[in-house]
Amino acid sequence: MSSPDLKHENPTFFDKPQNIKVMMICFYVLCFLLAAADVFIHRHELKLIDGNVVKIIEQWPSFYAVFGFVGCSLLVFGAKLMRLFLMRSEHFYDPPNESENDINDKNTKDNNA
Amino acid sequence: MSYAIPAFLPFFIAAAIALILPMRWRYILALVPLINGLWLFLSLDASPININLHIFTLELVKVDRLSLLFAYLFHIACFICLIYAMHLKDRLQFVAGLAYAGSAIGAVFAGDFLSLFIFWELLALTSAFLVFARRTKSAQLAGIRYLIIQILSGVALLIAAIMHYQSTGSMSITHIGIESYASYLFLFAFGVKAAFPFLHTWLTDAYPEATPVGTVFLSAFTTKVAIYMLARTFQGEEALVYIGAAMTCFPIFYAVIENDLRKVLAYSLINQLGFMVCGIGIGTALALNGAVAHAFNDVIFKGLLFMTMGAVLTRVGHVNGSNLGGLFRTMPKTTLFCIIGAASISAFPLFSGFVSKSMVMAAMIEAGHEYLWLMLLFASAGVFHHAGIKIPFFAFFAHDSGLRPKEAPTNMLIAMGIAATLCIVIGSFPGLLYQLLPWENSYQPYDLTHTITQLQLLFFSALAFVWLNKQGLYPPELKSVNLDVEYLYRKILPNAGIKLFSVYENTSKAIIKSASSAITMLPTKNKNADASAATLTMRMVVGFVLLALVALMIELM
Repeated sequence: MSSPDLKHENPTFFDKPQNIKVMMICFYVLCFLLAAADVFIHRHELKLIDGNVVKIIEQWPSFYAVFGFVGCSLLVFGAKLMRLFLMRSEHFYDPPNESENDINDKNTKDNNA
Repeated sequence: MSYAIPAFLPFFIAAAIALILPMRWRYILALVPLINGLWLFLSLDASPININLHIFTLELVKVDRLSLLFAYLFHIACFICLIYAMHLKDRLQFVAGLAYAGSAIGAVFAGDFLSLFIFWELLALTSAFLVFARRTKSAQLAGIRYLIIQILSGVALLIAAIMHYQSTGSMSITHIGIESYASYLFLFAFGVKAAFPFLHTWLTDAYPEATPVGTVFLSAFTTKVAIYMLARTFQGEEALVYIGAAMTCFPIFYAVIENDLRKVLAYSLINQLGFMVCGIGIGTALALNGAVAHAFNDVIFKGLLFMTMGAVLTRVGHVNGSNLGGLFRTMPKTTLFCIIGAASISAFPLFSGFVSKSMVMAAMIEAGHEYLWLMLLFASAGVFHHAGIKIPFFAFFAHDSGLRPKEAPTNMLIAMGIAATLCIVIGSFPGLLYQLLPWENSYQPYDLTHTITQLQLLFFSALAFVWLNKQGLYPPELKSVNLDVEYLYRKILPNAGIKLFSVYENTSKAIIKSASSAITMLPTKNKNADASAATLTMRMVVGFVLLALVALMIELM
């Protein structure tokens, strides 16, 4: 891969900000419609005994939407927290001079080399 | 036309032929899984094959619907992997790959623990060469660690089988259940290969180090053989439900902060195995069918994702999220296949994950584990987050890295195309897969509630990703190592060993030093030495003290 001529490339669909903007608006509208769908359709209840906590909250409108959003946010914050005490340098296990000592890397080529 | 040969035999023969085959004829190797698989599928059954060995009868081939389903799956996987490998002229990977697939097929048809043990160890041995084939120093070391742990699992299996034989007098593979010491050892042996929590690091260690082709092979067989064995021997064990739920949740945190995208997929593989282990633990017909169907789909969509990352690795030379981005410009087909794989693993409606994961979820509720069901729901959202969005986004979109690699080789595109087609066909026509499932049940994945709730979950997970990214809260891709259980055996144990050894060395040095100085203190009498009165007196004193000591010791005894 010789140095690519980035400036003279034709801009692709994803390079135009207005396209991205339209896509994002479509995405937000879809999200809204999905969350609002709970008002119009009646979901089956979970097959649990009456009075079960999970059965009750599962029937809340947009339960899955809220659960997905909050769950994923917590996942990311939790993972960031994990980085504080689990992250080490890239060469933590293998010193760099050792790990880069490729004997004969036929199948992968390193464009940085 | 009945199928009357051991199904693994063509693979071993092909592996032997591949040893000497001129590499320009390597294309014919792909016919082996194709023809053998079609033959097996069309004959619908395979005759059992027993070998009498002294007092034992080895049940080399024992067939039922469960083993047949896994055999079909492994034939498909091997076929796709071989096509994916066709651009290579590396004999080692063809031989190892074919022998590895043959061992997996041998293992699912094995009717007794002794035959299973043979194939179990062959799986370990042949697959290690797919790691070694990368031919880098770090791959060599990772391959050795992988091999040690895999062989350990095999040894545990052998000991468990012997104990089982002593107590029951039978070697045949039937339901075991957790009750005896032997069963704990069986669970350990299967658990190592199924990547149970704390036993999982061989997977995240070795898979990212293997060759692009090797990782696709690896992701298909070892763990699924373990799932198959668990489904046979430990179905309905409550403990597995909790183990599985843990497996679905903890890896996704690692996957979010991991930089090496193949390692992200390795963690996500453990997460998917968690769903299967849960299904086996629940043990109802719906749950077991779900576990098996999910194993089937996982081989194909996880293989597809590993293939797309392998294509990037082949073209770019690394798969670090921190240095990738914008590859969709020059690798549009690979990008499309990656998105199909991502949609399948995230269980989007009309993609394969949707029709199998939901069976396990539904069975979880039916079994009354509502809180574990919430855990699985969280894991489902998390899968979409790290595998469904992170992988395609950081590799092919995100910021423009300036990399303009060529599109993947044609054979890779064909292999990815086959896998992507299977993902969509199974997702859209689940009946095709359901009719092959071993247990009776009538599950309907597509109804309004299920489709809408799943879409809500996924879209709002995506919304969380968008929001976190816009706020700059999403953890950036960083070149780093995140500590996992392997810290124990790659740092703590070796360091403790080194400490212990240096303590031992220092003590032994000190003892030798003090002993030798004590010896030099003893007066010597050489031929030419000048024996003065003082040295004579000294000798006599030492002699008396020694005599007195000896006398005292005799007295005390």
